[in-house]
Amino acid sequence: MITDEHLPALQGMFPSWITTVSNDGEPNTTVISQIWHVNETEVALSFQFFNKTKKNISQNPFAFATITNPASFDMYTLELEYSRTENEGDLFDEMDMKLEAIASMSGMSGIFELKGADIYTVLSISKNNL
Amino acid sequence: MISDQVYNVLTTGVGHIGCASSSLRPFHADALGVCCDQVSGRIVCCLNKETNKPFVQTLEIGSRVSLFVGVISHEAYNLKGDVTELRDVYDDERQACDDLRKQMYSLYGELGIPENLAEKYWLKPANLAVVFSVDKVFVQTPGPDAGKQI
Repeated sequence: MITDEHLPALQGMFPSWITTVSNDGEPNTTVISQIWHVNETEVALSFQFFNKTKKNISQNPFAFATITNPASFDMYTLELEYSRTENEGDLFDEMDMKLEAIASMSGMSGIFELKGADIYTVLSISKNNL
Repeated sequence: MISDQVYNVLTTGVGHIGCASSSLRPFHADALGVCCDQVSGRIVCCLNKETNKPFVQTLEIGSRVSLFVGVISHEAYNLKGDVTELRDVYDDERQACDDLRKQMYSLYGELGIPENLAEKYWLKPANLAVVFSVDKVFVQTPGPDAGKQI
């Protein structure tokens, strides 16, 4: 599913955006700093401060995301299904360190607190350029 | 009523608009330009049909949508409402998209992103206008007010 072609778009060099839906059908679209590569069938989203996304996922596990390769500007859309949240471990630590580094560079240290690493199964991935 | 502050971000920022299917699957599309009637709260979100097929195929009159807009400073808002029209893009709306695209080329250039790459996102025909009436506006700027309805 996820191949080497997609990896540059999962490095957080360019923002991604994600849409989730509540169980009463209201969508919520927001921008996130990074979607993380976990393995060839899973990605992770950082659970920070987009509480509406987290609430929607607790009701309805499906999400739709777009990632961008910063070198080529090739864009990919992913259909995702929430699997689990990790609050410790190597992935969580890696995400935490990087997010804090990004926050520090943009003068927003402390605002980007990592609450968990939400793991999603990739149901599909498609290239989205014209 | 859309405030001047929100209007500024709507018309100068990057926007992504989301919807849901009848089976509650989410989709979104990338806005090429947004026009807004501040008094009525009517939003026209212009996008390209061909690169947003799942969204376009799902959307219909009455669909609930969520439009995220943000600018480089991280100031951002989320506007929600119900779709009232799906139609061709008018000339003045197309001009607004062209103007935004040029602004974005300039901004991207300052960030070291060349125009030939920026074009892959921005140089697409704006051929679908999604019109919706705003009934909720939320702050999406990172910080303590994120998520607050205004």
